[in-house]
This record gives sequence, C-alpha cells and structure tokens, in this order.
Amino acid sequence: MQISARLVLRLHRQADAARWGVTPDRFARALEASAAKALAGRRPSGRDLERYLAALHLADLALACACADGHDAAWEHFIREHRPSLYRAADAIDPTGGARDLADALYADLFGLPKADAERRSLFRYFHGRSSLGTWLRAVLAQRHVDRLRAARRADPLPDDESPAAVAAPAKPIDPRREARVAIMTKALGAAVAALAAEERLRLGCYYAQGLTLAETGRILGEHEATVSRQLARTRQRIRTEVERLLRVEGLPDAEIAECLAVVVRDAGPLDLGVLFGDADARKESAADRSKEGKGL
Amino acid sequence: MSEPRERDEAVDRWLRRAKAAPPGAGPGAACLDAETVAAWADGALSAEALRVARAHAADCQRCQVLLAVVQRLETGDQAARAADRRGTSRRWLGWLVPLAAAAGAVAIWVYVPRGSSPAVEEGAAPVAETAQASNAARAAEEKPEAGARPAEPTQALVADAKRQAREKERDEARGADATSAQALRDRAAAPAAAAPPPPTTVTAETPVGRLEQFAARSLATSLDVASPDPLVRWRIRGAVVERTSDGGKSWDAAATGLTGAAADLTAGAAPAANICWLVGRGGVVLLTTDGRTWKRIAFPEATDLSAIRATDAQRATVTAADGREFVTVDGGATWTRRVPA
Repeated sequence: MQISARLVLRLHRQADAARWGVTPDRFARALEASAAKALAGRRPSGRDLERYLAALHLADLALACACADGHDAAWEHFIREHRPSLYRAADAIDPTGGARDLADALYADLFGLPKADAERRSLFRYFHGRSSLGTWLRAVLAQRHVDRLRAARRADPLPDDESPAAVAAPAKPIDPRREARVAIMTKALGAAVAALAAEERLRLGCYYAQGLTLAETGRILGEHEATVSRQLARTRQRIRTEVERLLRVEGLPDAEIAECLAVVVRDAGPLDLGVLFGDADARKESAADRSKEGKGL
Repeated sequence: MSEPRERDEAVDRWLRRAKAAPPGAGPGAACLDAETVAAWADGALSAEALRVARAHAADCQRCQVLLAVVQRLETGDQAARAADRRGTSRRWLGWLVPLAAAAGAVAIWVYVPRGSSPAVEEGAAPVAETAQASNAARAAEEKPEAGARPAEPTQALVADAKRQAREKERDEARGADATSAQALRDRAAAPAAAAPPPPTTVTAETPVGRLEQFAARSLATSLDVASPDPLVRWRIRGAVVERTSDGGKSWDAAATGLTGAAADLTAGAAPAANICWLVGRGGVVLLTTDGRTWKRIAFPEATDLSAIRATDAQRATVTAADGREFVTVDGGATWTRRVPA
C-alpha cells in the first residue's frame, strides 16, 4: 500500500516522530504495515487511506517505532509513562500478584533481542496505532493471562478416584425427577440460544457469563447501557418463549413447564454459561439433537 | 409464576445462578489478536472489521473472556485516570492559594503610593509578605514536581527491562519453552535488583475456585463516591466498601455482605460525611448512616440500578438502567415510581 511522501511527512511531523529519532522512511514503513493490516483485502481510495492514517494514534506509533529500534530516550519515556499503568492492570487481573511476572515478561518481549541475524525482534512490531499504546499493552497482557489460564486448565489433571478430594466429596442425594427437569431445561436453553442472532449471544455472554456491567457490555456492543438493558429483556423474553415452546412440543403441560423453570431458578445445575454463549459446537449439538427429534428436544 | 413478565424474570435469575468456567479450548485461527481487541476497546475498528469481530466473539468463549478482561481493565484505568485528574486539580488548588497571595501582595506593593501614607514605614510588610508568598509558591511548585516523578529511577527501570530481556534470551538459549510455567518460574526465581513480588504461577495445583473467580469477577474496578467533606469519601472494590476520612491517605474496609452478581455496585451518593447510599445490579440498595455499617434496603424490583441522588438518610432518588426513577422519603421503607413531568 503506497502512501504519498507528502502525507508521510505531514503525519511524521504531527507525531513529532523526530523527537525520538524516527526517520520519515521508518515511519512510512510503520504506517504501511498498519494500513496493510487494517485494510487487508481492500483497495482503499487515497482519501480513505488518508482518513485511516490520520485517525491513528500517531505519537504512540512513533514512540513504538523508536522503542522497537532501541532508542534509549524513547525507552525511558515509555517506561516512565506506561509501566505504572501496566502494573496496575496486572494487579487488577490478579490481585495476588500472579500477573506481575507476565507484565515483566512483556517488557522483555517489548525490548526485543538481537537474534543470530542481528535483527531486533520487538513485540512493538505488532502495534499499529489503531488503539492507544496503553490500551494495546493492557490487551496484550490480558491476552497472555487468558491464554495462560487456558493452558493451565488444559494441564489440570482429572481428579484421581482415590484422591483425598474425591474421597472427601460428599455424596449428593440424587433426585432423578429434578435431574431430568434440569437436563431438559438446559437442553432447551441451548437450543433457544442457538436460534439467537450473534449480537444477542454476545450481549448475553458479556453480561451473564463474563459478569460485565450494563455499561461495560454496552461499550463492547457500541450501545448505551439503557439499550443493553432493553435488549437483554427482549432476549430473555425470546428465550423464555422458545424454551416454553420446545417443552410444549415435548408434550409437557404448562404446570410442569412452570415447575421445570422453578427448579432451574433454584439451582441451575451444571449449566456452564461460558460454553452456552461461547461454544458454537456445543450449541450445534443441541440444535442437531433438536432437528433429529423433529424440532423437539 | 403465571405472568409472562414473572417468567421472563425467572429466566434472568436462572442465568444469574449459572456458572461460567474459564475457557479450556485452544485458540482458533480466527481468534482476535490483542491489537484488534485494543482497537475494538478504543472504538477504532471499521464497521466491517467490527462486524467480523463480533460475529467471531459471539461464538468464541476465549475471545469473550479476553474482551471482558480488557473492558474491565479499561474501566479501571479510566477510574485511575479520573482519580489522577482529581489529584491534579487539587494540586492546582494548592498552587492557587499562594499564587493569589503573592499576586495580591505584589499588587498592593505596586499600587499603594509609597510616599502618601505610613505605608512607607510599613513598606517592609508587603515586601516581607511578597517574599513569604513567593517562597510558599516556590515550595508548592517544588512539591508537585517531586511527586510527579516515579519512585524508581528511570535508568533502573530501563536496566530492569534490559535485564529481563537478557534473562529471556538465556531461557531460550537453554531451550526452555519461554511460555511454559517452568520458564516463568525460572525467570521469577532469578535474582533481580528490583524483583517483583513472588509470582503465583498457574499450574496444576492452582485452585479451580480461583479460576472460576477470575472468570466471574476477578477484576474488581473501583468506584469513588465523594462526600461534602473533602476528607471523607468511599470507594467500592467488588463486595468491599472502603472509606477514607483523611483525604485518601488511609482506607478502612467494611464488608457489605453482598456476593456474586449482587456485589456489582454501580453508583453511590454521600449527602453527608457519615451517610452514603449505594446501588447496584439486581435492585441492590445499601445505606450507611454511621459511615461504617451497611444496611441492605429492600427495593421493589430486582432490576439493575445505574444512578442515585440523595439529600439525606431519608430522601433518595434511584435511577434504573432502563431510565425509570424511584423515590423514597423514609429511608427506603417505601418507594414510589416518579412519573416524568
């Protein structure tokens, strides 16, 4: 993606990139990389390209270029400005200090290392200026934390049948009628959620599975919190209607449907919202079961 | 539970009761990268990119968790920046007093005719005042500069980052997997000049409860509630409410007794130094009248509450997330819906 020299110079000046010794050529490469990622597969007009580039966090991009190239003053500035915020984020992610080592490792990756071919490979090369540098750093930290949790979860051994935890686990009295009601409701819920639009599932997932507030959910969806609240109410109504319809198809009378709902309100059982709202495969299973059995459960 | 509305609310309670374990599946090729998530959080994705990202996140548990973590971090960062701004404006106020005194003294010194009054003999007074005021102004000027510097010298921080980079290189040279828990432990165990607190490595022995806690609500964000007394304010961190009576130098914590989703407090109002109202999700209303103990106030609906205004311990107006307002004039014993004018 070719950017005119005049535009590069203007953006270079606007970013005050010379402050960190970033040359216009170097800055042009960063701008091109940014446009190539954001506008991949498109052929933007000159005007669109200019609008995109002008909206970037240019000063942050210049700072990232300088840090990636090992400019000492830029590093000092970066660390002074961003380290407190990154550590604050690490402490927010894990108040016991477990994410601090991730933040430290992140600094090491940001600094980069000259490899055998003497090329410096800094993590900054993935910063394209679409967000502020602070938001990007927090996102990288969050990504590493989430991926580490996932890796840890995969590595978790299954409880040994004779382990103290397994032996000490109190045997729960099983109520087959209750279990059946929970099972049928969970399945109906899966089918009802599968029928929702992607945006509705994302809204439900953010609010119920991830426990975000209405305002935070709204920021992800680009909606006002009052709109989120209204949309959630509509979606709940749709879910309830669909669940009831499915149970009626199964031949359940209204009184039994009401009892099923009362049972899951008291105890939702093993229902995992993360899977329900974030695992298409699990939902597909529900939907497939449903179609196999003639739209029933 | 015969009314459709009651059954809809039952669906709400059902979903609230369910758990959300952290994601266990591996990342897909289409999973969002940190740069895209950051651009999303900053509202910088194009309409098409946003559509694609939303469609993916709607079906990807890992990306939903990542979005949620970033969103909470952004909320926390905004709160911290707002607190910084408040601190800055207080520092400006600290400047203004000596500056105004100095300006007043100079004005008096300049405009009061020297030969026309006993001020000639008293001329020493304004000069002394000016000197005093300018000293105070200088002292005030030096204070924020000293405070603005981070505690650690920048050179040490740069050296620290470089040291970490070198350690990582050593790890890689040893053939260690840099992303493995062992490598992280190695790095943490290495001697360091400015070593961070001992890391809690996530390994097989990590309690599952902590992981669930993370997915549910590990990232408590802080909400500040100011009172008419500048030294007294509250802040809310998850289910714990803290109060300062010395302008933020020390904080006393008090448990609200709330757990789970009910612990999501969204707003507060403190009409007096000892009186504070808090509201949250699911119709949660809390009141303290002694600044220490919290009482849960019954609210007519389990709806999400987003704002509160209060004039004392008896009178408060609560705004629900859907815009409806409820008023109490008897300390929350009864609530009436306010009809819009």
